[in-house]
Amino acid sequence: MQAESTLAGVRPARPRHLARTFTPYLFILPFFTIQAVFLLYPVVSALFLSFYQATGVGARKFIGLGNYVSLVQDPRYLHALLNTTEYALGSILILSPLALLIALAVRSFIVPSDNARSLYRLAYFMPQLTSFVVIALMFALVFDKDYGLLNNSLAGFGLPKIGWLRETSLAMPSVIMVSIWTFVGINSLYFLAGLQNIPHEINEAAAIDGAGRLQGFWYVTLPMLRPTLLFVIIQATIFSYQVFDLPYLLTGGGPSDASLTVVIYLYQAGFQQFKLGYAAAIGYSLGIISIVLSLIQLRVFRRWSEV
Amino acid sequence: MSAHETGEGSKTLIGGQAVSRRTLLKTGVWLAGMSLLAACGQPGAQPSGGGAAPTTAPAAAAPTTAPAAKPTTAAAAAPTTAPAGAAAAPTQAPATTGAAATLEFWAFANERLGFVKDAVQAHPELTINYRVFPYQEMHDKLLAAVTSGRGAPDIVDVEISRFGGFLKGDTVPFVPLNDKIGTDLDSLYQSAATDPWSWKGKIYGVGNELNCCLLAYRKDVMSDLGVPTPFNAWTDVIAAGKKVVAAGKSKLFALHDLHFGDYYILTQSAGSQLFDENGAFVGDNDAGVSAMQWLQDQVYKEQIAGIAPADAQNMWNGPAYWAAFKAEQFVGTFGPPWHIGVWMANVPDQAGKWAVQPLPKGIGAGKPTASFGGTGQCIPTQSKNPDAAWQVIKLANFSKEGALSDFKSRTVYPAFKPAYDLPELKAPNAYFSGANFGEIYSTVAPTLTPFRQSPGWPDASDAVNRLVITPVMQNQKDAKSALNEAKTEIQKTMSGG
Repeated sequence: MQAESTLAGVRPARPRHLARTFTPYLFILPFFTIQAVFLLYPVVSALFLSFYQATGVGARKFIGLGNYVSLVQDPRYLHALLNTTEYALGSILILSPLALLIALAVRSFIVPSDNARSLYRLAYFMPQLTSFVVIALMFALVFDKDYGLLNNSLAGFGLPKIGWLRETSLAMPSVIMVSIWTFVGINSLYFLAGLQNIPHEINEAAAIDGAGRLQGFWYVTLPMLRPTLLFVIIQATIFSYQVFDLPYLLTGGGPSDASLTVVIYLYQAGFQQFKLGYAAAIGYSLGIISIVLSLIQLRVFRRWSEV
Repeated sequence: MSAHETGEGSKTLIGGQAVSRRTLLKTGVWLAGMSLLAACGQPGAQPSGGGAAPTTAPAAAAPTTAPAAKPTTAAAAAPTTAPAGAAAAPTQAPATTGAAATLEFWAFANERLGFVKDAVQAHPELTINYRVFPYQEMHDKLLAAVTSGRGAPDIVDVEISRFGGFLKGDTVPFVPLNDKIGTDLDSLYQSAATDPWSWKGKIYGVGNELNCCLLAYRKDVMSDLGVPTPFNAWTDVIAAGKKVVAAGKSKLFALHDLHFGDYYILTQSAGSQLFDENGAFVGDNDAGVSAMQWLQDQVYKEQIAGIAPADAQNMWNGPAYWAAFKAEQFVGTFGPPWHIGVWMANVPDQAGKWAVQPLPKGIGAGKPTASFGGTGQCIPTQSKNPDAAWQVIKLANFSKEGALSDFKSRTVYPAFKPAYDLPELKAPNAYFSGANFGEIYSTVAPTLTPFRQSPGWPDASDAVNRLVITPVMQNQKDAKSALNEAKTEIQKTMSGG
């Protein structure tokens, strides 16, 4: 120990200074190394790939923006984009208000007991813990035309059997229904967290000023929920444009592309048609769309907060 | 001076010993570096725990159970002339491998490995590390491996509909097997065993399944209705179907509205294929149109068929499908052994009530069978042990042991002709009213329409599903115009558009 102290004492100042400077960076180095290898490199590599005609195994040909030009002329891509937008609108216009309604109900006098509230929170969160494969298998049985739970329930009202996942007009709405079931719980938890952050005093003050429940919600609760709303809508938009698992497992993107999403098309282009450059371009187009939509939403919410 | 000031940093107790921050950091960086190096290493270099444990053949070369009367191809080079006793002898050692060479074998179904394991059991020089992935994942991983130039296995199961995709680009990532197969090619039903994995005269894989399609029907129902069987022509089948429907309980067929299988089977029976010998789509020719129109007619015009209860992930084997047959909503089907063969397990209470026969005449050329499905074993060009890999493929696919093993475990009828001498394959099937499947298959197999592979196969099957099958079977779109539309898209996709 004595020898170590002596050695430490005679160390030149400069290396020690350098060590102090670099030590924090070394600590965070593993994280950034992993990010660089597994995130940054594929992202940059895919960008380069999107400028090449890379089909199957063999040589690649640089075609500049050729893949992007083909994209905007590809009716299947445009159809997939339309389907995905329909899905995103379902997430934003149906799922988000429903989640807010559930959050308000759980927090309101409808559920007076704390234990019951915890039970509701748990119940709503359960789908989030369930594998998409299990959800898809379950709903494939629910939606089955001949033996499904839904059609057999509707038959009680004298309604005809419906091919929920097999008719082109119903496939995407059915996928949206499953998506709502799956994600409404986690979104209502976001809203619950937001509602809990609104001080009681403000609602009480509004009530004293004569605001009813609806007015209190419209003029106090909703504006105070703005950050939560922004978060929920932006993440719903981004995740909606990335949707793959549920429609792929439920319908495979069919029938006749009725539920084809952009990411399913990306997968098909890359791994079934082996058009790797084209698939990379689809991926980048998706990234650009998500960024643009998020920026629009940020701007809209900023304006709302200025009003 | 504090520890911090001396540069020693704070110390952590690990295992009772003080470890300085610097030591911890060095260790961390070292471990991270090693992990990175390991991650960048060739994944196939050593067995992982992810798949099945490496299978090492038993040290003692036990005699096989091949019937003594006939030769077996397990005995290496001369499969059809080797004496029966040769089955027990080890085949010639792989040329480029030592005894220690471990082969990587990728598959997408555990069930497809049994016959390989049985076939190589008597060959201790062949050590195989089997890895089983889900269907999609395995083909995706294979694509990633052959595209990146590293990580491909020595042997891989490539499903028939996925092989065409690997022909895109200017390089085929599999080893040509023509020279290795040599004259043994004659011992195979090539339409099923090698054609699907061949391109431009080169054979890149060998499949062991003879997936001949037959017509199956409820013999008891037909007898009750006074319908004579077997059927000679499809018109007889339609007449029988009308009687079945008139009886008020069932329909004859469950036809698919999401998958091209039924259309593909009938197109072959009509004497055509999806592609010609140059790889161009011809599924819209007269044979294809008549097959597709026939399918639509049975649902909407003749009304003897309904739409099959299937879902996107399970077109041929889902719970709703079997529930419908159990409930006798349908009393007939046509398909390959992997479809008809699972009736026994899924509808066991109808044992003895079914019968099978070759496909009737009346659509195009009226061939008595068609081939549908299959999986071939290929050797990627990245393999460091192509000779040993071929040895495994040969033992599994050119031997009675391999054929019998897969027949016993999966009721697969082999593409290896000499196996049809085996008594097991000739045994009558009680479920199907005593039908001799082995005899039927070996009789109809030579009439199979030659399979034409194409780089456009995955695109074509997808386009036909989307633009033909669903619109024609659901919305009664005209078969000819739907097939023309599909052809236009397939040609555009294949030309790089």
